[in-house]
Amino acid sequence: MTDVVTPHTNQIGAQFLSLVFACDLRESREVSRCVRQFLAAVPLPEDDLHAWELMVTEAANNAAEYVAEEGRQLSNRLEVFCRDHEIEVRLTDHTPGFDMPAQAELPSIDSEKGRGLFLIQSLADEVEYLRGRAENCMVIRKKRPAPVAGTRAAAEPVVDLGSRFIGDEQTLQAMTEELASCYESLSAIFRFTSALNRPQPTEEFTATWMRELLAIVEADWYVLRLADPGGKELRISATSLPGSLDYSLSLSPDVSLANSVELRAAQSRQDVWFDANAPLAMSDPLSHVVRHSNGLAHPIFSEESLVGVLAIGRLSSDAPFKASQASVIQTFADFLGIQISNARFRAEHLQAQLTARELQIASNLQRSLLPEKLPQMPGLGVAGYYHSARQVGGDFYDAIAADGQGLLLVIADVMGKGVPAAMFATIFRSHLHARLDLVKRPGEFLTWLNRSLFSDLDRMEMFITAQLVYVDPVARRFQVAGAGHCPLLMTSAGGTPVEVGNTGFPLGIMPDTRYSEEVRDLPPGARLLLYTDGVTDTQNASDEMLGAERLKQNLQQIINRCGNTAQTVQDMAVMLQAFQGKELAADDQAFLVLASE
Amino acid sequence: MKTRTQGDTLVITDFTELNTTNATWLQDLVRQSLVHAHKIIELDLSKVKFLDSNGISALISIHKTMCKRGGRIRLSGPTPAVSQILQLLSLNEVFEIINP
Repeated sequence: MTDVVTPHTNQIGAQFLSLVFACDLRESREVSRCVRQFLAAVPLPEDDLHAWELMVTEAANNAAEYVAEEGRQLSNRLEVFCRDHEIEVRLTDHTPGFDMPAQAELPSIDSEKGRGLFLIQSLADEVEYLRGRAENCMVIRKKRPAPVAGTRAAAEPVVDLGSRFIGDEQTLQAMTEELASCYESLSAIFRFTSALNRPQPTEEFTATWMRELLAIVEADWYVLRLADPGGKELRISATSLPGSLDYSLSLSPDVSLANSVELRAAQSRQDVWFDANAPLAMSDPLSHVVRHSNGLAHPIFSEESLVGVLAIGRLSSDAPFKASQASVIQTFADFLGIQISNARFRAEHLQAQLTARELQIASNLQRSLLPEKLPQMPGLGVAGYYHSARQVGGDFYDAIAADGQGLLLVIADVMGKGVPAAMFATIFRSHLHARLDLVKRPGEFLTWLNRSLFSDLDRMEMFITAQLVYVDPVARRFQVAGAGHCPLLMTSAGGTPVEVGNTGFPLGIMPDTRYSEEVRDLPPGARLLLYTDGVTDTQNASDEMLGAERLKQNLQQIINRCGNTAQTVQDMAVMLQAFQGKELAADDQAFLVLASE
Repeated sequence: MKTRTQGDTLVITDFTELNTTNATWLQDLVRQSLVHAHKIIELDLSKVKFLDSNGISALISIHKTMCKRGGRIRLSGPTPAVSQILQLLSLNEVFEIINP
C-alpha cells in the first residue's frame, strides 16, 4: 500500500481509516486485512469483521479485475467511516464502471464468476455505486450491532500523529481544489433547498435550476421529461435544446425501449450513459438534435415511483462527466423529483424525505471540513476532537502549518444547524485557506475574514464566532485573536488554567470591526485548549451545564495525569461523555489541544 | 498446502485461506496430484478462516473437473465463517460437506 492514514484521531465515536493502494489483485487481500484490523479495534463482533473483510476483498478485487489499461496506473482509494450506528466503506476505482443491479442474481452453479457483487449485496445493508467516467465510487454501509449493556465502544485514539504526517501538502492541495470545485455546487444546492420550501411554479423553477446545473457540471444541454400523472408516458418539461422535442415517449411495456436512452433509463431505473463508444442510436429521437455527444440519462424517482428522466450531456465527446459531477447531477435530479412530487401531491412524508436528504448533505459536508490529519512540528503536539449533535451544526477546527515554522490553530462555530451552518463552515474554511499569508497576524486575519464574509452572513442573518492562534515554537510565543468566541484555556506546568484572549464581535455583525491580538509566552510544558461553547454547554441528566469552572478543574486534573495531546483529547472526551451520561448532546462539541514540549 | 492419498480420495490439508492469491495455486496442485484412481477430492477446511469468490470459483472448477471424471468434491469441517458463505451462495447443497 502506498499510503495509510489511520486511525483518525479527530473524532471519537466516528473513527476514520484511509488507504491508497495499487490497482492489483494482490493488494486486495492486504487491504481487507488492514480494514479488519482497524475495525477489530472499534470493536465489532467476529461476524461483522468477517463480513467486512469479505466485502472489501470482493470490492477491491472487482476494482482490480475490471480496470481498463489506462486506469491500471492509477491508485485506488478506500475510506472507512465508523459512525455510532453504522460502518461505511467507500472504494474509489478507475474501471469503466458498471450498472449495478438493485439485487445481483446468484449465478448458476456452472458459472465460475460473478459471485463477488452478490456477496457484497447479501452481507451489506446498503450498497451504492456512484458512476463517473474517470472514476467510480462504491459505497457500502452496514449497521453496527447494538452494544452489549455495560460496554462502550473503545475509542482507542490514537496514533503518533507525527509518524502519520504523509504527503500533507499534496492532501491539502487536493482538498483545496476539491473544495473550490464543489463550492459552487454546494452553494447551488443550498439555494436549491431554500427555494424548495417556497411555492413556485414548477416549470419556472425547473428551468432556473437546470440552467444552474448546466453551469456547475459544465454541460452543454439537457432535456427533462416528466411522467404524466397516470405514468403512461414521458412528456417534455424543459430543455435547453432548440428543435422539436415536444413529442411524448410511451412508457408502455409493449413499446420497444431499445432506441431511446431516456426510456431505457426509465425502464431499468438506472443511469444510461452514452458517448463516442456507445453513441445515441440513429433511431433515438434525441440523436436528431444532439448527434455527437456524451452524457447520461438519469431516471428520477420519488417514493419509488417514476417522476421523470433527465438527459444531460456535452457536445464534445472527449470530456466525460466525472464521478463527482455525475453525483451532483443525480443530487439535483433527485431534489427536483422531490419538488415535483411536492407540487403534485403536497404529501407530508415527502417533506420528511427532504429533511433527511438535507441532513445527509450537511453531515457529508461537515465531515469533509475537518482536517484529515493535523500538522505536527518539533516541540509541538496538536490533537482535535469533534462530536456532532443530533442535528448537524457548524463547528469547525483546523491546524495549519505556516512557512515551515509556525502553526495556526483555528476554531469556529457557525450559528445555526443543518445545511446553512455547514455551508458557512465550508465558506469560512475556503476563505481561511485563501489567505495563509496572514497567519502570523491573527487579528488582521479576522478583520479580513469579517470584511470578506460580512455581506453573505448579513444577508442570511447568520454569524460565526472564531478564534485564531498563531504559535511560534522558536520564539516560544503565541498570538491570539477572537471574534465572539470563548477565550482559550492555558495551563503552565503546575499552574491552574487561565483564560486567554478577548472576545470581540462575532464575524458578520459589523462590517468594519477591527480585531486586536494578544501576545503571550508559551513556556515548555504549557497546554492550550481551544473549544466551542458546545463543550461548556454540555448538560447532564439534571440539566446542569458543565460550565467554564468545571471545565478548568477537569482540564487541570487531566493534564496532571498525562502528557501527550492525544491522551489529553481522549481523556477530555471521556470526561464530557461521563458528565453527559445518557443525555444526547444538544450542540456540537469541538476542541483542539496544543502541547508545548 | 499438503496432499495425501487415502484410498480413492485425494486429501488436501493445511491451508488457512482460499482467495485470489492461492486459488490458482490450489487448482495447479489438484492438476499435478490427481491420478486416475482418485474419485474424490477432499478439502480439509477446518483451518480455513477466509474464503472469497475467487476461492469459490476454484472450488467450482475442481467440482466440474471431478464431475467429468465421474467423481466428486468433498469439503470437510468448514469453519462457521466458511459455512456461512457456502450457505449464502447455496453451495451447501452442491458440495458434499462433512462436519466431523
